[in-house]
Amino acid sequence: MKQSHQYHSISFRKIILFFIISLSTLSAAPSSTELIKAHVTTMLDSAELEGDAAEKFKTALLNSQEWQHQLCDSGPVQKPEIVIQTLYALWKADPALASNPIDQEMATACALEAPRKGHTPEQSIERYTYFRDKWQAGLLNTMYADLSVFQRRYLASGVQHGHLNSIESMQYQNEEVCLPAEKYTGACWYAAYQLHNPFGDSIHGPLYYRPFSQSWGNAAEMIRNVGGVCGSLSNFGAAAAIANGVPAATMGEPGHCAYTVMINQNKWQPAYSLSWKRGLHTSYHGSTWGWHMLNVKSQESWDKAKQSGNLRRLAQHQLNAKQAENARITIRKARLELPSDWQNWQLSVDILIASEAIDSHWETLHQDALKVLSPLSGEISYHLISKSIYPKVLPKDKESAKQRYKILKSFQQSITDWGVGRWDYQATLRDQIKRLNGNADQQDKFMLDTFATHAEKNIFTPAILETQLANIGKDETRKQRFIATLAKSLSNSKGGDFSKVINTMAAKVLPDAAKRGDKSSFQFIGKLTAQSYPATTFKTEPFPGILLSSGGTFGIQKPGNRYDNPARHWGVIEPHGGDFHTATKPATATIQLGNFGKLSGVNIVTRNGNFHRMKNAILQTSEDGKTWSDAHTFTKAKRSYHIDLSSKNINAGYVRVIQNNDSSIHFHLFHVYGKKQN
Amino acid sequence: MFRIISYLLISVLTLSAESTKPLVPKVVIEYEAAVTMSKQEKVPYALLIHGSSWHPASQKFIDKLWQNQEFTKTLPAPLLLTAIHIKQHQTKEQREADEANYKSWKNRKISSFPCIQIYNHDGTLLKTYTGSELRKISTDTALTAHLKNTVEAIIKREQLLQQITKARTDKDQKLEASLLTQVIQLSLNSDKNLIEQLKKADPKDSSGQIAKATFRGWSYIRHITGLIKAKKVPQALEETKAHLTNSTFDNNQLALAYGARGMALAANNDFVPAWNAFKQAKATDPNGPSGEAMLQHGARIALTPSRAGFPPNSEFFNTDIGDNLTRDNASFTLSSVDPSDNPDHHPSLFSGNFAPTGFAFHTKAEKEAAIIIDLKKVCTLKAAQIYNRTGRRVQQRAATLTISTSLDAKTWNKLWQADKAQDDWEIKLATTVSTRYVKIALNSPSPEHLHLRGVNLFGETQASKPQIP
Repeated sequence: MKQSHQYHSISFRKIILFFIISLSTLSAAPSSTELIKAHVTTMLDSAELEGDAAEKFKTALLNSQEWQHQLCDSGPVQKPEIVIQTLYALWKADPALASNPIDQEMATACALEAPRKGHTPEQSIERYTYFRDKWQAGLLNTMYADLSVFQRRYLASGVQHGHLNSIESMQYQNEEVCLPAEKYTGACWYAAYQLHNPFGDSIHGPLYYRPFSQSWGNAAEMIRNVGGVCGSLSNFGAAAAIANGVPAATMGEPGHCAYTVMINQNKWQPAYSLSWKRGLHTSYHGSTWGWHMLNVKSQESWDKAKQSGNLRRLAQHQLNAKQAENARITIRKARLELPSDWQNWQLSVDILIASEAIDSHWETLHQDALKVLSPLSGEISYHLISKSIYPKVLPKDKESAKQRYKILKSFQQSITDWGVGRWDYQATLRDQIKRLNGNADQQDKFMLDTFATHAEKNIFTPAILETQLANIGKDETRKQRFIATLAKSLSNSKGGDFSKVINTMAAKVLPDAAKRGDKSSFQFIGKLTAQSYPATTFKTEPFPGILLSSGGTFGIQKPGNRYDNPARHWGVIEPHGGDFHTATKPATATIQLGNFGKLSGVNIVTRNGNFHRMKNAILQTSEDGKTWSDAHTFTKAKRSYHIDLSSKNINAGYVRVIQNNDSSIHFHLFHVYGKKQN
Repeated sequence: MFRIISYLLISVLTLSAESTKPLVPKVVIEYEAAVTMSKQEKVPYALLIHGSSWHPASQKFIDKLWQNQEFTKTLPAPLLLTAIHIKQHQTKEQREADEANYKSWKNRKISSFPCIQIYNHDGTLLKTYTGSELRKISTDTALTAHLKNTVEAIIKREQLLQQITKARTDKDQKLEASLLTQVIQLSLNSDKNLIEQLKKADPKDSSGQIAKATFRGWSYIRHITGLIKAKKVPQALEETKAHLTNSTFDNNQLALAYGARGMALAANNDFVPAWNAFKQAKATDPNGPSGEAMLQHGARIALTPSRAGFPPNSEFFNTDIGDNLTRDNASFTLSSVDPSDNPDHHPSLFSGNFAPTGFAFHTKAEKEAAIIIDLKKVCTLKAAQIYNRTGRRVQQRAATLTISTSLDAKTWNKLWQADKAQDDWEIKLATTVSTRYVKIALNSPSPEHLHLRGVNLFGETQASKPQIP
């Protein structure tokens, strides 16, 4: 009986709304105010709220257009009925939130995250209350006041390791790890890197934390006292930021766990990160770093985000009203105005499918993606194009090979750099090669074309080379032919010799890769170049642990100066040996370590002469490559240095030598040793 | 930041007019000026490191206490108050400009903001308040009391250091050691130099202070773990014994020392004394993290193989269940023997570590598969602990487990039946039962294997009467 009554009530409201909107479509398009209200009303109806306060809550929500936008336009909304039920529970627990903008935003964020995290209303209330009370007490970072609902969703979501999301853990970190926002990138080191607990149990088994589970009142304090490896440490660091009102998220990397902190408005800084291959544990639409940065960008301007939402609702309304042409025009406006909002592209595809759009409409979408989405993110653009557009625009028959080639090439021409974040460009290349339908000549031509397209900036060239060499495999004739043709496209090359091609490219690629922290390009090209110069014969005494510098990047200021050949930089940080020569003051030589670690020592072998140039130079270390600490001062002028750092308890991801008094330093070897901590 | 200069001048002028030496003004002044004044006047200073521009509660703390004349009036003289503001989101230039105002500040590693560091006039950091400790004392009365105690400790330290110098001049090594011990015991930050001095003055560590100060806490436990793993158990036993005699250890240290002892004993297969050592760790440090961790660890490595009772997470932990009736005397017979059964593993049913295969015995698949345990004399059965075989799937075979008792191994009285299969069962009888034989059997409708990891029966022996029928 109750259900029946409710059904009638909902139907009646829907009929009225439909009537109002239909009337408006007959005359003019409904206003954005009407559309969002109708949308939120549908969400409210789906939630089937019960209790005396339900009507009051609905009134409060429907009377605030800003609140409706916060709910609908702050990133994707999953399971809207649970979102509304949670928001209702939060409002019942604290009706005053409707009149307090900060609390309202935080409650909305908690509601939006509830279905994603599986939070019960009680858990959402607990989390919301924590932030409300801590803010009122002045115990959160002032950044908290200016966060958007989208940014607050990271606070509402918490970190990957659930035990660090307990109120007790957050309380502990609010008290014990309260820092300026940018310092949270180092908060992971509050806990020691320990693979085994004091009883010898490995962190990879169930016993590591078990004896300590009752020792402290919360997981954060336990981890700080017992330690952990990258997973626990990164979760600790991210959770510390969140407990203090600073958005953060943990990230998976190959064989490693890292995290990221929003250290300033919309500025997300990776922390304890070893690779660009990051998968965020709090993610929307897609989990890669590129998706994250694109989502962040889509929410940079709240006015634009709202306007984008308005256009989507209008387009959806037009589609429902069988005005397909209008819907296509409206959603096109949305995607061109705010290309960083993935929902605009997704709805574009949905509308084209629903309206059984003709080829030219798909071609328009394709061109829009190449024009406005590719420059932002080749990754997301190719995701859209390959999944939704190629099936419509890429001809499959043999006769259309030229057309197919041209379409595939157009994507390569639409990208000039990594955009919002580095992505798996090689996977894109492999996919494109596949779409050439197994024609080796066409594949080689396509890769040469692609190489030429990107040769000037040299950002993608190492990946192109690596992909093509793997694609060619053991076919030496094909390889020689490819290299010879490639060599012609490199301006300084005098022939088809592979080492010359590589050396020419390395001189440009290695410094760029080092600057960007692009380890894979640096290593790939660096290893190839090492075949063209001899290994060092100078013997050094290694320190305990592994060669942390190996696998990393190395760079100097003003690479390629008259004394320097950047093609040999790779060898400096590897057992092979190499050389470099700076030519500007202060002279700096910087290693991004291949592995983050606890340093045991550094070996340096300088070029055989002008030893005085090292006097008073300083060895510095850094966790993030930005904030540096002195570790050693070079007081003596000599050929080689064996610097023991084992007693200094230094965790570092970066090591450099800086000479403030001279423009020239020059090494053959710069080796950093220590215990790997990732 | 602070309205420092004018306040300083007013305060200095006012107080210098009103005060007589050695009292000094209790004022809030700029950092470098405070350091200079501290040196000149030979008075300590309290440095507040805060982020009031990004942490509103810190601003409240400054307004309510640090910069509030009503509060500073209540502070003990002699003490200077000063502050450093660490901002966020600064450019490199802005940060360098700020840092120029506190060039001489050395102890910059702040684990949590705000933080108070209290220095002696010679620049020695003697006390640090931060985190929850600082938040708890952020009222005028509590903070005043703490600062007062710290200042008193600093004054006392100064006096003791002077006496130590004199004792050294007089070559009175015993007095020097005694005075150094007193300094170390003050509630100030630990000072490695003082420990080094004490090592020279009291090389035999007659006071135990050196051992206390150099005890490495959980690193010491890692060391003992290392010895055990390296099969140096005798060395571990020797080292752990020595620490237990140190009367200067605090409860946390003692808990770790008892725990280390338990680890060494367990490694030596002395499970009962090992479990006692772990329990002693908890008793010594009942509310601390170390005692609890040691109890939990001990339950796994000593209690389980000692078969001495229910673990700490059991509702029956520390309840009266009597003695272990099975560990030392009992024997058992099986209803049948499966080829998987290994007689070498049979003793592990009642004592020591569990068998590596996950079961101590293995019957054939049969109806009413059973093990009959002979306690060798009539006992009062109070409780039972049964460990199922490991392995989620094969554990299901024990879903219909029953316990029956008998005085003659012929007439059985069923006491208990399992509701479902689980890792282990803890059974405490509501009323005790006199029995000599205990049968643990399956009550499954189809033939099934019976295989268990461990059985511990608890109660009292009835030794006074001849019981064998």
